[in-house]
Amino acid sequence: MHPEFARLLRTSVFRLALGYASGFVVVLAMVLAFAYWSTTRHADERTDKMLAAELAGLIGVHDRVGITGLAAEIEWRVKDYARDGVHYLLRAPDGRPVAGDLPVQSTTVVPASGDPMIVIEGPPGSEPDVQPSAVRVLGKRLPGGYVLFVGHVLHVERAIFNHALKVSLIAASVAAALILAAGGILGLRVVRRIDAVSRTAARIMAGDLTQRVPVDGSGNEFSDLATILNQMLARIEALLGRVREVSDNVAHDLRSPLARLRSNLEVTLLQPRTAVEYRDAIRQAIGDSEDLLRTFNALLSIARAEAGPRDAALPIIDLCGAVAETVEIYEALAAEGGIALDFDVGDGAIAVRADTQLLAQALCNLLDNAIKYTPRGGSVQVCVSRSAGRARVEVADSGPGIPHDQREHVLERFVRLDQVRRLPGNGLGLSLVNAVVEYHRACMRLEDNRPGLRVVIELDALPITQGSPRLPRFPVDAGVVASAGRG
Amino acid sequence: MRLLVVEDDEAAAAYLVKGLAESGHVADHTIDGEIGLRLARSGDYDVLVVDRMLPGRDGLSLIAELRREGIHTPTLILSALGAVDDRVDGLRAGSDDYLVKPFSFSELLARLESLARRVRAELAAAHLRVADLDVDRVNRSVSRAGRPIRLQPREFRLLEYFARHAGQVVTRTMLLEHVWGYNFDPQTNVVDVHVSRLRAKIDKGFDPPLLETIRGVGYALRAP
Repeated sequence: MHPEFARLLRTSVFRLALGYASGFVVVLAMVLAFAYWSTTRHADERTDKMLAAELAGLIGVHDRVGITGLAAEIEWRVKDYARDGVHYLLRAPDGRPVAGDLPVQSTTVVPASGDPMIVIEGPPGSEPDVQPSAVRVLGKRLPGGYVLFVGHVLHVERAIFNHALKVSLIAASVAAALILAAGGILGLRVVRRIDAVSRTAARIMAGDLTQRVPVDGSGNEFSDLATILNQMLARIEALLGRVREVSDNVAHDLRSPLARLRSNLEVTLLQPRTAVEYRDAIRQAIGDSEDLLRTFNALLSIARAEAGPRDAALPIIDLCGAVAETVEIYEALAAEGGIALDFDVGDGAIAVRADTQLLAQALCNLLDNAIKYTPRGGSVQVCVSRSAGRARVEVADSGPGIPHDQREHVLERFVRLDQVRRLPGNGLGLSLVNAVVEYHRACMRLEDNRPGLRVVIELDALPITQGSPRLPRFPVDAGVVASAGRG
Repeated sequence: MRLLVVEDDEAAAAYLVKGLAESGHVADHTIDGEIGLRLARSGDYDVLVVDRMLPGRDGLSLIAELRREGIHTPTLILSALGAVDDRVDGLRAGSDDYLVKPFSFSELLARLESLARRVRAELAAAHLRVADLDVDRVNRSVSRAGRPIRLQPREFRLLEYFARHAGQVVTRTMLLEHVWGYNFDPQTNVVDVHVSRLRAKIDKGFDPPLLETIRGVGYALRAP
């Protein structure tokens, strides 16, 4: 069998069509059988009535003119009525036919009394045009041992019925063929569409992530499925692209400090040095490795945040409290740098679902940047507010700000604008903030503070419930961490 | 102090044991969790250092089993698994501290000494005293040489932590974890600023200075 045909036979659409076609044929057969049964029954009843009337008429003739007159009447009627399919036979007591043309066997017994008996015989040899057919015969015993038979050829009813049957069978075959053909065409279409998806999947598995499932724009369920699959593929490709980008960046950004670390150690070993020189070189190496670890940890935090919330819903915390804690940490740093740090928490708590550690880390990075880039005598404002179901955190500074065309750019990893290269940092601060914002499905905007930068983060606030207990700054689990190892 | 290191990375364990020996401690080492459990049962150790992924028996189950048997030797988990959930798992299993790899040796040493010298009675003490500095934990007030010192609530918690670990080296990450509840290092070392502010309040105008900076490691509050 042709393999595609074999596959077609296995498709659900074709099997469904096959089922429909067989069901159709079975039902049609039942309908025809019933029609046959009811039609023949009706026709037989009519024939029997007609034959009974004919028989009664002939018995009347016998009563009036005796057996010879009846024989003459029968001969006359045979000539006259044969065309209507009515046939007669008068049988003598010894079984010899006296008159008529019905080929009733001489042995056929008719009861002596009671109702006329109906027998079915045939086909009558004298009527070549009704072959094959049947004759319905009614018999009656007459006084003196004679038996009178009246028969009717069933060819008219049968012919009509046979014609109807033939037409029905042709119609049924055509319908069944059409159903199967439709099933076959649909099945082939399904097979082709699925093959297209399979081929794309195979090519993607072979490593070509740019492959997409063809979409024909017909708007049917297949093109909807193809569109969804393509969106999924695009998302996977984007995620893999980010993973690749991260590993590229890690490789790139860790390579140079590693090289520095190594050459420092190698140069130290080139010639004998004093203990103080060795000590300095080792200290330098430890400092370099600490920078490396810091960069590494920042990348890990970003990766963790980008992986998204893992399982259970995030704990509910008070955003105002969380921001206040972070601001408090940086107050000392700001004061040392001669920067005014203003904090406006508004009134009361704002409940949000957040990962405390990630949120605090993001806030630390924002405050760190704000204080780092603001010159002595400048100011940093932190503001938490709530409007229309959204909680809003703003961190604004009076530093140099970020030019409009570079605001997207600074969210990427390791990007450091030229004017700040002399300041310490690894270029991961805002990337981490961005990752944390995406983790919380919040949104972040970088705005112009005229002068300076204003970072606005908005996330969904939970509805305020009256009389709710004070919100924890740390969820229970983090509390375990915070209090562990005390002693 | 006497330590047991259960760690399957033999090179890392060798450095650890050497470092501990040079710092004046005695350390035994095994790579197998089951052997580690048997050694720990002997009860001769001041602190256990346990890796999480070990042949024989994993670190969490080792600690959980010890605790179930009523052995409460202070334990520190060393692990490459550093997410918040991983820490929570470790501490729930009964560990007293959790340090994520890679770590600095001085950080590990500070934490081990803190665990070994822990005096449980001190946890509940109403007053902590270091030389002439008095920390009143009930009234949350501080005085030195009889003169009251006003501290912000956070500064008080910082000093309280130092005083509970008087004489020991306390690292910046220990302070971040226990005073602020942060598991991460902020980019700028904000801890330094807070410690220098605290120092200005408790040491300025007094003699001798009590809050000492240990270069490259952290701080220590101690009477000279």
